[in-house]
Amino acid sequence: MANNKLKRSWYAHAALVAAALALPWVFRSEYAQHLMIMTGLGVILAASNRLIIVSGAWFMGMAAFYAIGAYGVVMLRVYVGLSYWISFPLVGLAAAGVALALGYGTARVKGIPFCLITVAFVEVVRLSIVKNPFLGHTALKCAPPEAILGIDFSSKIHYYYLIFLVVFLTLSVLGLIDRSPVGAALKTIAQNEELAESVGINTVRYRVVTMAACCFFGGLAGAVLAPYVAVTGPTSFTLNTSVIILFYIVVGGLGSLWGPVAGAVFLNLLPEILPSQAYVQNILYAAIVLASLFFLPDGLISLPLRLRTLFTHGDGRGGHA
Amino acid sequence: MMRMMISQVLVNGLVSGFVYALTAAGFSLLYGNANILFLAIGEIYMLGAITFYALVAKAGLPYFAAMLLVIAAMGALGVILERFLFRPLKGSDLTFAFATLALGMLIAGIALALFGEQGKGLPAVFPGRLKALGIVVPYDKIVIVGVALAILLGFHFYFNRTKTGRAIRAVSQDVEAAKLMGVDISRIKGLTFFLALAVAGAGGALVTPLYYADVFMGGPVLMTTLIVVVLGGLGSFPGAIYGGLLIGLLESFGYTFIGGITIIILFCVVIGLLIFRPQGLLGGEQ
Repeated sequence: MANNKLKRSWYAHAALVAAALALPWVFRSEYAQHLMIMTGLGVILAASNRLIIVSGAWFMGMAAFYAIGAYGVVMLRVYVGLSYWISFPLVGLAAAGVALALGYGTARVKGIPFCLITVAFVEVVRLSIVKNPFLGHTALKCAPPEAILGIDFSSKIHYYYLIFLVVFLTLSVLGLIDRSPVGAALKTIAQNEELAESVGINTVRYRVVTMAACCFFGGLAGAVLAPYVAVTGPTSFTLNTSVIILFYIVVGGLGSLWGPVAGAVFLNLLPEILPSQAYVQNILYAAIVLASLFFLPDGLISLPLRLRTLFTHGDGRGGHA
Repeated sequence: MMRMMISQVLVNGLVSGFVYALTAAGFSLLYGNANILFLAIGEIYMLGAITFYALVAKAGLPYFAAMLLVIAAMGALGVILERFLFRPLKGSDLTFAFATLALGMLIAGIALALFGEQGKGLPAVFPGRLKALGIVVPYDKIVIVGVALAILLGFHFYFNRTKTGRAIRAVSQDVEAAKLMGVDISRIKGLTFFLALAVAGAGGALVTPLYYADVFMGGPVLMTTLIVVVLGGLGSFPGAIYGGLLIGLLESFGYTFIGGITIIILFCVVIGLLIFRPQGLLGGEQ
């Protein structure tokens, strides 16, 4: 029984990976591939942000770590002269290091005050870029990554596979954390911190290390964004970016790793079937998020279970996914 | 010359300080009484500004009539939002904060569709300037401070002298005790939303003749409001007012004498306060 289930889940994951690998050969237009790349970045950011929220920290700061990744990679290449492939992991580590400092500094703060600290932190990072004469006034140019294995990043499809690798790495690591005893500990901390302390969980260390691990991936996402968009400007890293990331999580669902994935894919693709004025997207996103909060509080991933219980008249096979 | 400049900076600081006090008062009312982190406060301010612009420039209403209409309209919007959005919503504080983020985006989208991207300014409503004690102040700025002061004094009177005003304060201190004393909590929440959105919308309307009304003005206002309410103590009404004035002055002097780094310092102060003194600079011991 359990073995069968494991097998099925393995097949499902393999099919998903195969589909993701084949996707740019099915949708070959530049625009479709651009959309897939941006969706991939959204997946990385939202899946990372979700795990931080799962640990009970109301984190709205992902835009700051995205910025650290993007600007970090440009600075390491331009001012230090490192290659892209060396800079790439380094900016991830830099983001994680900053998250560690922020996390330990704010270890005693919870709830709304913590949320406001992360909001203020996004502004500190953004303004430090905007007001910095070396970074702010003009957008920074970022050259494509150095060619590797004959891949020279001259077309979108190369970036797609780079993003695919980072998404794969992110989801694998976050999925492992989610299922491991660490994940269980995080959920206990979120539900009842005193209880978690009393059974010997070092709540601060768990939460801060999780935050650092998740911000590592946020930094990597920034490191991919910089060469992809070629010019990095501070407008990509406003609080609005953090808000959109949260919207992916709300719409997709907080309960599973696949929630933010579903949310990012859904919210990135949906505006494509509608007229493209900016305000249409704003109104649509807002309406979807409000509708989710009211009618689907566990997100899109709870939809299959909901439908099943609806058709079987809730025979008690339900329960939390 | 130096004295002249300092007095000018002082006047500008006071003008923005009073406007900050208004939005921060709205934010604090909602945080203190309805326990909602109302992250759409900037968009309400923006909505007040563009509504005021439309009423004066398009409908040709006189200044004070338009101001009163904006206050009433934003208040009514608050009541509607409380009744049909926030009262039926269930979930944690985080759910409510998400709902306000979505609300802000909704308002911004609708405003963008109706108003367009271009900022629009009004001609000076009260042309001319006051020259006294060696300083020169345009009448428009005096009117802003006067109206804001009138609103804040009105609040002071309302909260201290009237029964409903005291009930609002009671709810912010202890919901359960207020319930036991026979306060109708859901009515108080509706009233809180009315007052909070009215006062935030008034802030936006007030600055329109001085600057521009545009649909992107909400974001920076939210950030300033957050600085103010953290400085004054989250949910503290008097804290919001003193905090607003303090930030208005600090910003004005900071930008003049130390430049753009001022705002970064202020955000760092906010982070420090949230860690070490969550009751705010002006709040008492917790």
